[in-house]
Amino acid sequence: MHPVVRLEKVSRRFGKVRALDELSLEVREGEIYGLLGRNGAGKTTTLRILIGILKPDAGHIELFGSRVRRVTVPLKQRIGYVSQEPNFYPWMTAEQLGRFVGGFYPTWDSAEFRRLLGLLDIPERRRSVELSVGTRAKLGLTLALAPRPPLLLLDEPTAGLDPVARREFNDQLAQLHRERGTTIVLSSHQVIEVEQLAQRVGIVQSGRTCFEGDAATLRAHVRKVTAPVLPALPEGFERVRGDIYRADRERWETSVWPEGTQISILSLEEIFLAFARADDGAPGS
Amino acid sequence: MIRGLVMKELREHGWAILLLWLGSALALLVFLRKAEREASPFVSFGYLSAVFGPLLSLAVTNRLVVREYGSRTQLFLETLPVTRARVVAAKWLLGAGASLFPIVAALAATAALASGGVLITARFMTLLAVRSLSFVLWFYALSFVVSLLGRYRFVAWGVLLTGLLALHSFIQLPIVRLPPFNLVSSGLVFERLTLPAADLLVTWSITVLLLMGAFAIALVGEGSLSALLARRMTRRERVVVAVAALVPVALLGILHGRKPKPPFHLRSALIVEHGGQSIGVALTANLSVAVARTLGEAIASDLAELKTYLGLTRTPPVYVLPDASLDGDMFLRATLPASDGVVVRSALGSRGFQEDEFRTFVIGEVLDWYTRGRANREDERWFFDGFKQWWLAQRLPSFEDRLRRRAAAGPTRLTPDADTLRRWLTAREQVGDCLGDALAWRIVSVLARDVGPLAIQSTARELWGSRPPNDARVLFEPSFEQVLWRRTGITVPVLAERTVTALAQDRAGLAAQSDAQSSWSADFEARPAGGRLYEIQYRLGSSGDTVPAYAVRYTTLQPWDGELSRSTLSRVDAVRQGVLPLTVERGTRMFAAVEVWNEPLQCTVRIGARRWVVP
Repeated sequence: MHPVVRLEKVSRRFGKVRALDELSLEVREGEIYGLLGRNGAGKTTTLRILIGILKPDAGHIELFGSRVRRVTVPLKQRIGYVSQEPNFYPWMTAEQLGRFVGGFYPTWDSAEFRRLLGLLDIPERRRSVELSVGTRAKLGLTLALAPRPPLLLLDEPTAGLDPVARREFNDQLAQLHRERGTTIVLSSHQVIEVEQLAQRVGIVQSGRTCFEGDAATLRAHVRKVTAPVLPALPEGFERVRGDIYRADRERWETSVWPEGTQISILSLEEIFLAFARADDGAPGS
Repeated sequence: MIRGLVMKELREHGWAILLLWLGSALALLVFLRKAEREASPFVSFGYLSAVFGPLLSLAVTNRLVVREYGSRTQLFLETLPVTRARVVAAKWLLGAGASLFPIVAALAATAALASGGVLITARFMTLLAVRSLSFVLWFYALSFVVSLLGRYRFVAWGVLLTGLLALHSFIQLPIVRLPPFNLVSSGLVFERLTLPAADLLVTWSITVLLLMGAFAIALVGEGSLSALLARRMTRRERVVVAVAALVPVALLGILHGRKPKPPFHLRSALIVEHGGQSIGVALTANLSVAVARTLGEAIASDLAELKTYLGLTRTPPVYVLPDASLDGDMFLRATLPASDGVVVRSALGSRGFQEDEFRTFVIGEVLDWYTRGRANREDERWFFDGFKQWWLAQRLPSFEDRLRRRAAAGPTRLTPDADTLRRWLTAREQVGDCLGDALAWRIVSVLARDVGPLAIQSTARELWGSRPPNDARVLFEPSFEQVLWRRTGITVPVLAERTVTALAQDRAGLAAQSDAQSSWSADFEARPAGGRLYEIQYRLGSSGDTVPAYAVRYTTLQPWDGELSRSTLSRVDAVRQGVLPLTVERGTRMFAAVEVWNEPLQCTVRIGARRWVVP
């Protein structure tokens, strides 16, 4: 599968703050890509660059197989975007929002929009200000999906939702992905959510991608070493934080450890926490 | 895409824009009504362009820009496939249309209404349209840029307004004669031939710059600047901005007050000098040079002596302008916005001109100038009124005799107790200027009799002898009653009691000259005149004598009206009962009084003065 999104050494500063520092990532067609990172790691900046709200200071962007200097309106029409804070017009109903947003997409599917409203149980004629946070998030997803975009960018769509609403949202997202096979970039700091939904994961730390791959590979690469006396590390091993180390799967399997040394497989959350805490001075976006 | 944005704006703001247009139509009707008395019905269109055009632009940009950025919904627009530039362009164009349409409609409506009475040519209409639309578009562009400044927009308006005032005040820049303001000046509706090309070019250039400024603010930093500016102020920021806004305004006010103004000068006036004091008297056909010189010398002599008496460091240039339209006992002081001095008007040279009273008036106005108006404060006003009469009467026995007779006539209507002295303006309004001055003279003359003239001089010197500072230090001055006690050892209640006794003695001594008017009474009655309107009927009644010719003085009162000058009151001359030439609504506040000329006292006596609310 060729990549739908490819970022290569993309950097972006906000004044003195370096939000992205030569960040690279690759999202393949049809996959859900989980962009994991702490608050301020650079996830939102990455997505805002992909949707064209921000421009990178340096680096290359490739969208749908073509290198682009900036995200133009026709490109934007092929991307659905759900932001953390939707900022809908408070006086507009879901129906009015659909009519308004639909005017900007030549591929807008009104029937699909109504179907999604019904599917996600969103009242059509209630003003957006009167909707709950969860329903507003679902409305954002509906508006992003109705033009049937080949790429969907979700910027922490479940932030602020209670666990039930979050589960419901994620279930419906998974179902819609199964139905359509849309490529999705899902930014989140909820590891479990990403683990459940994403086929591949990118961990962003201090504006850089420190890992990219599927969750199983990540678990195979990052392990915990517990030993009475820590031996000198074999070649090819890199310390992530404390007693957590990173190496190729082969090295883990072929290295010889002193007696009494325990090698533990970690959960994705434990690995994420190890990466996240490795650098507490993370720049923010 | 633009269509989608425009439709959204219309759905959101359409009703507000319609209301604004309706408001414009109503404003045009009001202005048309106002313009009935003007030379051209297009004057109403001029008013609408100059006044309502900017107001409309402010309201439109507030809806289109401040609301969008203030509620951060522009961030939602950014996520859609539309460029920021298009969003701003759609807003700008829609707002411009909404602001300009009422002006075009008003021009068409005015032209249709005026077509019978005014020559309307295509060139004239083009001139009107180009000038007014250019002005409104300029203001709209300015308002759009300022609205994009978000939480700093009020600061920006404050700076602009203060800057214009400063330019007008300090370098006398005639802003209304400069573009873009002069496009809608009074010449707008009378210029039929010449296109003010240079002014239009300047206005359009500013408009283009403002348009570029709007796009720059909206687009710079990928919209982050406008988003940042639109955030609400923190408390600390509010305080800083409030202080930053108030300090320049306060400084401007102080500097404006301290800025020396050139002395008033009337080249054609006769200048009379005496004791280093010069007086200018304007000459008219009714006024001989000899009379003018005599009066000028008398006033100059008064002021020169007063200067020494009170230790004044300087006196203003004084000019007297004869005005035959005034009554002999009516004196007015002109307001001089751009020059310094005391310019007074009186019926000098006419029959009935009261010279002695006029000289006391000039003394009072010079002291008012010297004390920056503080001599007229109500708590010391009786002393001020009484002092200037007393000081002159010492030199003019005939004037003193007149004052004594007038004062004796006063107490039948007014008892000078302590409360009356403290609320002197109310008391004075009841009896009129002539008896009020006489009564004040009697109080000061009783004080002089009991404590000696030197105590009066030292009191007056402390009150008015040094020019008060032109800033907040005046708040720390001692009260008048403290000064009076310190300088004379007498309190206001004691002085009032002694005055009552003295007046009783005066009345006994002058019994032969009884106050004939004491039996007269004036009545005012509101009568329905249809609907909510009332007319005011007046009547002067007498238990004995025949009622003479009299004048009714009246005015409607505004909530902030304090002292009523005689010159601001309307006047109706009457010999019998009648109706005032005005109709008022229920709840209107009014003042009315009857004034009768008393020949023995040589004084206009006020009867039945009252303030009331039409029931």
